[in-house]
Amino acid sequence: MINFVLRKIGSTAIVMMVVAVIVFVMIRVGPGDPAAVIAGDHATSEDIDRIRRSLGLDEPMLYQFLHWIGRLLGGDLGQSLFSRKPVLELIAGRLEPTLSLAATTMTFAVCSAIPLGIVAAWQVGRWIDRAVMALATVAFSFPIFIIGYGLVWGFALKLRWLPVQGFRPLSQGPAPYLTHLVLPSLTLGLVFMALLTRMTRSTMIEVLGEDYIRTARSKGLSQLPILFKHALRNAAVPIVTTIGSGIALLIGGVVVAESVFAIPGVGRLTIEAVTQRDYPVIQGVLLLASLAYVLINLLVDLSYGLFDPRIRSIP
Amino acid sequence: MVFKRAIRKIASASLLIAGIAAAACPALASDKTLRAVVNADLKIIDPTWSTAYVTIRHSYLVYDNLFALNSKFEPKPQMVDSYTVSPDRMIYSFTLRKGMKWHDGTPVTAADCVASLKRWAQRNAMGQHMTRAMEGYEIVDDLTFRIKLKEKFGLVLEALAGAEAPAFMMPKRIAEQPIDKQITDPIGSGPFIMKRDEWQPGAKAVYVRNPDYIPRNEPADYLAGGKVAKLDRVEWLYIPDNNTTLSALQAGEIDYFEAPPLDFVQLMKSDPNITVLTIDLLGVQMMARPNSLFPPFDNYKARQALLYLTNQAEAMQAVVGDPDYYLKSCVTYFMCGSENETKAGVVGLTVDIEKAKALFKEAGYKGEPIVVMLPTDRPQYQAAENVLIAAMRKAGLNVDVQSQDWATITARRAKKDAPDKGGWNLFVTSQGGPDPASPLANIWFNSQCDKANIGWACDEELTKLVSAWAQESDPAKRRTMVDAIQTRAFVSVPYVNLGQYVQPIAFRSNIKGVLKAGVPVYWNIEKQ
Amino acid sequence: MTSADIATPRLAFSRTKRHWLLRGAQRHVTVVIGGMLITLLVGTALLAPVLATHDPLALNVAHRLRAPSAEHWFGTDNLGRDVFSRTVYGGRISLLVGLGVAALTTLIGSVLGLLAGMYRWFDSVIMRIMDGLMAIPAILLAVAMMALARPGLLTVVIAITVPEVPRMVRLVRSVVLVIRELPYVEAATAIGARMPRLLLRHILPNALTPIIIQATYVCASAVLIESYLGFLGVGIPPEIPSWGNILSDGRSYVQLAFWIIFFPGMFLGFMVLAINMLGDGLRDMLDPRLARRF
Repeated sequence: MINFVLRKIGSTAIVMMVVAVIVFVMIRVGPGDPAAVIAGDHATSEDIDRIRRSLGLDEPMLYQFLHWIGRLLGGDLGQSLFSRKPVLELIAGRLEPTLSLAATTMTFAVCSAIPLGIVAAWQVGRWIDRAVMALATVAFSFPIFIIGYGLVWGFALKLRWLPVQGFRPLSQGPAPYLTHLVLPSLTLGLVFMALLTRMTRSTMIEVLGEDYIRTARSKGLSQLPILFKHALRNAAVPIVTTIGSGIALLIGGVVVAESVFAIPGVGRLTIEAVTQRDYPVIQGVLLLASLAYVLINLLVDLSYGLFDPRIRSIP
Repeated sequence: MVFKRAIRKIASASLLIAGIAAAACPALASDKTLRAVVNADLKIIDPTWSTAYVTIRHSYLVYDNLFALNSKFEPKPQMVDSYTVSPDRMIYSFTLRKGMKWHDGTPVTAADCVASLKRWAQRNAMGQHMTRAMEGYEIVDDLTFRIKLKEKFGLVLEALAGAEAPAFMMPKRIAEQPIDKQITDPIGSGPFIMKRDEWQPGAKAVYVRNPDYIPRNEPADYLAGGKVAKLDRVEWLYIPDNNTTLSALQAGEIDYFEAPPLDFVQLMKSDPNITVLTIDLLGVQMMARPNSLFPPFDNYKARQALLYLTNQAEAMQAVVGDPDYYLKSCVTYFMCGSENETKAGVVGLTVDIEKAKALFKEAGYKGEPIVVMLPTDRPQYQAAENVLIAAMRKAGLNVDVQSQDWATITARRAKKDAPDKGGWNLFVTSQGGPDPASPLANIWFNSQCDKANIGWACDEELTKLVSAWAQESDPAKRRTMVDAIQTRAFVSVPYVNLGQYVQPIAFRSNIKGVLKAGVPVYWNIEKQ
Repeated sequence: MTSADIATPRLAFSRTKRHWLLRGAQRHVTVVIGGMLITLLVGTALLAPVLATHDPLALNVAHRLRAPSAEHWFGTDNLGRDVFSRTVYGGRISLLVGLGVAALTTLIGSVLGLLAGMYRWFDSVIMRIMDGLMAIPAILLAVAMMALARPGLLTVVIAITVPEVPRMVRLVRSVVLVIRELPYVEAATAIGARMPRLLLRHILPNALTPIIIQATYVCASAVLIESYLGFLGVGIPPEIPSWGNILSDGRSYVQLAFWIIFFPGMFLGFMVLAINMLGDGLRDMLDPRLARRF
């Protein structure tokens, strides 16, 4: 087990190095110049040159890269070229909204998808299965922002049940915190739910066809224990894998949902950093997002052991 | 069984959520906090670093000025208590008001103001003109300083009161930082104090009332007069999605929408809870800027040809839509409605394809591609530019439209490379407020070749006319000189005026006292 | 976005014991509906020049933001362009993006995946790079690539392809790893078959099914991501109408002129739906175990 963890961590380090190089090269090769954006719409070429020099952007690329890597190894992601705030502080300030949105979305999706998937598998071919599958296919075929605008129009503007936009930190009380999260996580959760439902259903169908389920049935066990104790347990590994790989999908969706609902999260930070060419921020966010992804998948790998004892024995 | 239980659980959970929602919604804040959505995200808080409007607007909250314009565009003392001008108009002597304090509690002194002026003049075009005409500053005592000229310069007070890039006063220790080091400490003496710890670039900036601020006794008038802060707190939110901002204003989640797309105006006017107000007496001038370094626009005839491809009414209809908010035609370079508005020397500005074709031919244009930079993320520029491009194509020009985001365009347009080697021929931008009304402060009008703004307009004769105008202090003579300047400008065409429009602001109807100050300012505003 | 629901090789080689009659009936429904929808939408895209009532690029600022009418079936946008004509023309571009990304992803993914599955040394290098790419969130990667390169159709296709490739590589590689252990491949190796021949004759045909199924999901996903890029303002340049940039132009006007985003949004949704349904149908139909039963 320890061996397994160590090996995983080793390969994580390599992956992160690869990410760092890809991100740096991709960003610096592209056009655009943060100095020109800083100088503003009415600046002269001289203003821009002056700002570029003072930011050190005129140094050779390799020097800038080594400089960045050097500081990175010391745990320093640098400063925003614009606000001069440390990148880590900027990201930390954006974590609560994004993590909250991801958590509520995930909770909603998992809590609705697994029962739906099980019902569909259990009732395979009947109308309830058809309905669930239709819902699942439709939900991930329409763009998130269209669903989002629709929900805002209905629940926020017409019914006035929920706020249109924004985010309230948990420190301002659980009620505003939750109400501001309902529409975004519903918007985003539908897509994720669709995905998970499909996965749960197909895995459950497969598991329900296995010999030991038939044995259990023939022993006269009733439906529910079979579904939940035997089948779901065995279907857990692929479902958890889907949840893990869905994290990347979720992060992508979060970016769009944050834009629609004006949630000041990490996604918006990235989009703005990209449009303004705030190099240190883009590099920092992409690196940390990748790290989070790799770590979550590491956890997912480790969690297999919980569900499937066979994997535990594999070194 | 299990499902029934699950359904019951889900039902009770949704009831709970609905209950929380009902409890949370009426709890809309009625305190004296203004939630404003500003047009851009505040990223730079140093007004000498960025010419971005949002930075200037931030500065108006935090800093104060020596002079400020009133609604007749006359400079009036603001931080200055009294001033004298020597009979030969070569020495200006200023005495500051007593009792003014910086946000850190230290008193405002003449030395602080001189240091701030020096910092400002290194970057500001008007400031640079003034510095060239100056012998130097003289600090007389704690509250008095002098500006001594060595050449005639008729615009000292106008320069100090510039509206879009004014001279903001800050403590000496901050103002004396090297110009290429960005200020990160927003300490001024203005009516609001920035809460730097609550500033989240990309999300919000927070300002609180300055309890030590002493407003002037006169009523507020444009940017002049008493700046009375009646709000306890101003929260600037940045919401990139206009539709979301509109919904938030309708739902009362925000109080103030600084730059609503003009298409929203009708919808907002029909809502009794929303007031739409034009605070800008002049407006915004949209312009097409040709690159004077490369063919075809290195030839003034090709630039003149653009005048014959410009239909201001159509461009403005595309940009603005609502005819209440734009002028059907505004031919002057110096802002319609300003004292320098003139129709002298106007050429073109109506579509005449044949004339344009002929001028391009005279300019030696042979069908080489004309690189037009179209910003993907600035819809108003895009709309105006699309109208111009359609006319250019009609005239048989080989238009190479290159779409890029604004960050790329700002970087690219600063390059003096040939258009086929990463350079450019044309882009669209805009400028607003009283500054474009002055031949000297209108930065895109500046035709000093290499020293001119991006696009490098180059016309020595025009430059001479403008310098002579700046030295003159007799209003009647200056007026005739403006006519001569504009007549010359329609020959060399530094840029093409695509039209003038106003950008109203919108706010909840319980907000009172919004000033028509050209730029959105937050003093005098009350929340009822 | 949809591709996490990938047709893993397990599906192609699983011992599925679903009731084949039921599956058959279901497959028919999805394939028939999906096929009909796709034919309809592809048809409108191909026939765009015939169907369009206006020039999709022609500005008519006097007619801006008009509601749907006999003259403008889907209304007009903020520059007075005809939304119906833009939608049908936009379908071409969006389809082109979908197919382009699917083709490019399949090509690059299969080649890299086959090589990774066959050669150990290549495997470790390429899979580390793929892990790295996969770790960067797809939309952020595409946004960064779009903003940092000259916008254009090709850039969009590449920007969407790059984050999709790792999944395809993983898929193909895992199929190869399974197949190369199968008795007949081992037998072929034992009688001295060379790798290239082995690849072409035995492994590729067997890997084709999951690749095709994955490709349809990539296609659906690409159409959606194109619209997200447009929404975030880094999509196809505005002078080329695509569903993504029509939606992005219209997003400010949701309350004023919902038709600008409603109609292209519906087209886009149904297109993705149809491709997904076809993918589901294909998965059932091409599943060799099921196929053999018919």
